[in-house]
Amino acid sequence: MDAKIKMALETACQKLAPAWSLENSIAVNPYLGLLHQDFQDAAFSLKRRAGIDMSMSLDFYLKQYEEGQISAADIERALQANNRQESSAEFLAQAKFLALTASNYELYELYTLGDLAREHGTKDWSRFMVDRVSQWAAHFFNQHDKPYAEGIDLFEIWRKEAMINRAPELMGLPNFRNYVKGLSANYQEALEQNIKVLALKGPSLEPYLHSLLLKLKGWSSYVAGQDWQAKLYGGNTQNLESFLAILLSWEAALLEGLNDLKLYKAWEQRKADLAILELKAAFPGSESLESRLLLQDAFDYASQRELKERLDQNPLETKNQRPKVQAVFCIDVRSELYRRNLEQVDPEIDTLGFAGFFGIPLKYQELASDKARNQCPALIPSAVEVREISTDIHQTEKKRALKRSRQQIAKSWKRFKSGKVSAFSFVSPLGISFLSKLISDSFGWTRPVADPNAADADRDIDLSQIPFVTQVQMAQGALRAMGLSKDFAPLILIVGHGASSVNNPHASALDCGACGGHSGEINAWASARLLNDPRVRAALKEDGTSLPADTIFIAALHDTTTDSIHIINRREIDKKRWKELSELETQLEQATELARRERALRFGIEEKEAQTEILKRSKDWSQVRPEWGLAGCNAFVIAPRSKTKGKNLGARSFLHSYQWQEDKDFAILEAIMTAPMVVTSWINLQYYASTTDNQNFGAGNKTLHNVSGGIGVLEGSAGDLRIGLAWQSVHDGKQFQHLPQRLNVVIDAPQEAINSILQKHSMLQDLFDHQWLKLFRMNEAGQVVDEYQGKMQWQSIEAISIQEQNEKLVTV
Amino acid sequence: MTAILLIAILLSPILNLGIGFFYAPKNPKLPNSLAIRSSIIGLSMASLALIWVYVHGPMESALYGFADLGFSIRLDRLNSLLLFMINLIAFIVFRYSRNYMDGDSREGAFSANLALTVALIQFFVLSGNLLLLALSWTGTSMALQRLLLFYGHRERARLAARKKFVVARIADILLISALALIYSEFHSAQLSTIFNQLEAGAWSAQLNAAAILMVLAAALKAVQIPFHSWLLEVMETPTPVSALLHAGLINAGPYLIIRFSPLISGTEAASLLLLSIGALSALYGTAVAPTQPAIKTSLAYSTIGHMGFSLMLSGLGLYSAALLHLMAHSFYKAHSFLSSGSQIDRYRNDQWRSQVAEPSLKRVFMAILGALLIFSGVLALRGGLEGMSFGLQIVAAIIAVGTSVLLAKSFEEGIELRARFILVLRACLVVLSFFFLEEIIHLALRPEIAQSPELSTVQIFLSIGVLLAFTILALGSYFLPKRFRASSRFRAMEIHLRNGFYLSVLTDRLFGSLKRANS
Repeated sequence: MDAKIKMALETACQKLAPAWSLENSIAVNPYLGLLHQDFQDAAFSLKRRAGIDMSMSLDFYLKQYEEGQISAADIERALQANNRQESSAEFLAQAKFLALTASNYELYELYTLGDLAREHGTKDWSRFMVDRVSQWAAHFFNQHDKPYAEGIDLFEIWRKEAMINRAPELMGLPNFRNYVKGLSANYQEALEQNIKVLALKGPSLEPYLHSLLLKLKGWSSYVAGQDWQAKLYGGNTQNLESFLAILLSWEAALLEGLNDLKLYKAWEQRKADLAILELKAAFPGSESLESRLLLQDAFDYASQRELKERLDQNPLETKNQRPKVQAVFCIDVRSELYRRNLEQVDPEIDTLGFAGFFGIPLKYQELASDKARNQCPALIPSAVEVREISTDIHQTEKKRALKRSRQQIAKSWKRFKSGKVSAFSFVSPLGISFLSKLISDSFGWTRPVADPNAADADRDIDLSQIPFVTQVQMAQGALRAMGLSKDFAPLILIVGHGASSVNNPHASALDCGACGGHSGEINAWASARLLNDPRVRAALKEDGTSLPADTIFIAALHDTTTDSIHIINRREIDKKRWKELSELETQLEQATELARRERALRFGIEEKEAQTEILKRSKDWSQVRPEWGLAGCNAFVIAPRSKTKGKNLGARSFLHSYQWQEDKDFAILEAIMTAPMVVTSWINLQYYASTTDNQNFGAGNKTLHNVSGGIGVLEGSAGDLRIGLAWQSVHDGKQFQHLPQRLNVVIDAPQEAINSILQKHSMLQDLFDHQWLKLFRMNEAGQVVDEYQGKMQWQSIEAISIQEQNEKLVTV
Repeated sequence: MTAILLIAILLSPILNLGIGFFYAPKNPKLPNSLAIRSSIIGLSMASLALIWVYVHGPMESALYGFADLGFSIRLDRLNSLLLFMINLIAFIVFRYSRNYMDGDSREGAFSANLALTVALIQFFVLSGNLLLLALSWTGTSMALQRLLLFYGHRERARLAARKKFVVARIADILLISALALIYSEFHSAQLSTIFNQLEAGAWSAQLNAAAILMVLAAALKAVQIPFHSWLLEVMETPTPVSALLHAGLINAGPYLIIRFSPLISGTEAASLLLLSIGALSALYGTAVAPTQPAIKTSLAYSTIGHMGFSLMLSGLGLYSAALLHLMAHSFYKAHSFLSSGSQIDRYRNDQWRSQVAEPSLKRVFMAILGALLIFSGVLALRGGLEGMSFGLQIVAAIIAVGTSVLLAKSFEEGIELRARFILVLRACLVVLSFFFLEEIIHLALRPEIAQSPELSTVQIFLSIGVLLAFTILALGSYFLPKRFRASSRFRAMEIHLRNGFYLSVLTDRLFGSLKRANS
């Protein structure tokens, strides 16, 4: 393949972020492939190439200003940062004017050849192409879970089918099948053939290919996700390039088939534009975009001010005695709320934050499953296997047979129910039975489909597949990373989290992202099991970590929808300790009550109904907002809890425990910054993108969702696969529940240490230097003191505000 | 007492009508909470009516109108059963909408429109006069139109609504023509008068024409091919609308046929038409539905099939069986739509995916044998074929074919013994339940619907052909040699099938669906 083409192809494909199927979805930063660009440049690029907005409307920001969220000082600062000379008053006047002339954005709609064909002809070929390719992909991926594992080439299969499918021609696109027949079965050759037909070359190639992928950003991202997973486990597949060959074939077939002189001309013009547009030329609407991005900066400054105010309060005193309980939670923002309430119930309970897979990247094999599922963060491959067994070993095989037979019955029954002809045999005699099912599901007495997370009472886990050495390593790694090296409490609670909702295709988005979009139950359990194991403890002692004999680890699951916590491994705990356990459970229940009361405010539920209404939500098949998930997240604090204890961070902050004094070579900090921090940025930017442009990077309206296979949703009857979060997940109908603000990372560690880690990882530098995240440093008292300025430069916040005041004086 | 009951039964439709017409956007939660109450009232009244008519027989209100045309309602075994079902589904759908639509900017308008639609179906079912019947038939479709355009900014929603509009207006014309013919024949628009005269043996060519027009109207209403394409696109509007549409509105077609069974059964051509249209759509819907990955699309194809099946049953003279299928399908489909969000959970629960058994001839023979055995057993219990019409025998055979599919599954390799046992047990249950329910519904509705007439030779041949087609579709692939299944011709068929034989693409082209919105 021609080197230039190859280069353009690779560059375009790398710009697509991966997406996962809804069976195990995790939050992904949809701008992942653009991190090497400045935030603002990326915003311009996406707007030009696909009409995607990376900021809110001017009206939104102006309203924030009027309501006092954004201050004039924030705008002044943003103006300065963007090298603008005007005063905030001048700027605002101009922004208001732009907002009135609303047509200033919504200008670019012509990205691909299909778009041009719509513009210059009478038919919307662009939409037709999206529908057809989407339909094909839905069918293809429904059949092939992992094409890369099966060695199947997307393009080759598509070509075979496109040579038969008559839909394009019946719709009035002549010669489609013939065109496809003329293409090579090898996707790379076909790519070149198509590029030749489209006469694409030089600087217009890469932007065009990127535009084309963004035309079907849902499926493109899903295919990119297939490549990502293959790569994580050592493979190297180019499914996305193959997919792009399909899209290109459509475009070329349109040009050839329609054979319209006007279209040819428009296409030539478009190619010329594409090449120029890459230069930073103004385009219709660019002025408004610039103002919006500037106001976004100001909005972020506002969030930083607020965060600083919250963090600068004095923390609660912590006594220097052995805590009664240490409870380790996931870093998730939902934990912050619960932890704060738990500490309020009993100040002698210490809480910690750690990524919810608790240091055990595992693969979990359910008793009657033919495939283990990964329960680990997206950045880490699963390393060990945990299997489900029965508490009574002798029962395991029997139980497996029973479960398998249940599945076989369910599967055969489903086939019968909706199969060819047999559907009639089902409905006539048995359809009436849905009368009772309708009623019981409606009242929440039953759920339409069994809970995939439900487990038998006698379930147990088997860690024997993990070599002993690894067990010790993992236990040690977990303790160290959690910051637990001494002062162990008698009870250490390890709390994974999951969410209970019904009839919710996006349920896994509410589960634990660090466990690959699953409930963190098994990870917490496995972690506690290892740390309770006397052999492991003995080995740990040899390595210098001595756990007191009375310290026991308790695994628990935090249901984030109902905020209840339930202990998983009670059976394994010495009966003598059950009394302590019951006391703890009582306290957990009290914390649950407080947490529900706090969350009820956000739902607009009256206080006296808080307990029942929140429970109801988790069982309601018509509930489109069972909980708010991570909506609102805008900060990540990496510091010991003692510095944030008692400060209300409003369920908007990720919290990772970290004590730099005990991290000799800053290896732990490096691990935190390269893994959990990156994950929090994915989550934050996913919410960001789903809020600023729900049509493009969000999943749209939940009431229209049409689940396709086990993969994802369509909005309505057709169109592209929809990735990201639903509109209902960020908006309550009256206002946004997620405000698009870039994540503020606050680290309690020396500047030099942070700098040296940034230096080591260019990916992290990209995140901060290109303004995708903001970085701050905390002082001894837990106050936010320094701000990272990019290029390893820091400035004290005090200095920033003094400087601002000076400038103000000068301008006055 | 009769008067009180008739007024009571009108409470809910009138309330719904009121919610539909007089809602204020200022109070978005009110329409829904009123509509839930209204459906509870409707449900209780319908239950009461159900008992009443079974004890005391049908009743009819006075006529308000002129020239025998006007407002009059009637309650009998057939429609009180249907009324009960509609109120129940309305109750569930309104309850569902309460939280589902929470926060939508037009939440109030949604429930109000839904209530209006429900009111009109209620009137349709209650109609005792041709005028009310025609008005509510058209009205329902108009109200639905507003729901389809609930998100009117969506281009696809507008396209679907446009297609639906044209089809519905053709259906209107057909129905009104049919009703006009009936009216001019009997000089009466009261259903009771018409049914009495039909029973007395009145007959004419005009009535034959009316029956055929009515069949066509019903077929259009029941989204039979090739006029089905709009149904595949109405998920452009919130899920509760789909549930109500598939479980309530679409039933209007088959219900019309059952209601006028005395008329239809008197016209052989009408029955033949029903049988052919219904069987074709049934085959089409049931063949295409499993190939669709998107759940709501698959459900829509399945509805086309089930409506076809119900019409086909009417074509065989099995009007009570048609009603049973209709009602069973309503509950099933309402639940399927409302729970369509659970599709991912279904996938997550299905953890044994690698198991794919090759079709084997031996297994399928065993399955057929098994199905025959079960059938003979149940038949023996029932006392043989005694009193079973030929049509019912054909349907029973189709049920048997479907059952053998289930049995074939249970005979596959690697299936646990326990699973085999339970699946066979369930197959027995299916057959038992079929005969039991057929018997019950037949007895229940006997006074009000036409009895299965003797089938003519043409009908017999046609129905045997239909049975054959169903059998081939269900079991045919088992008999194909492996070589053929892998051949390119077979694969091509699969692709055409997945595209619904391009019927919707062709309709799209006809309606200029790709036309730019602003051109």
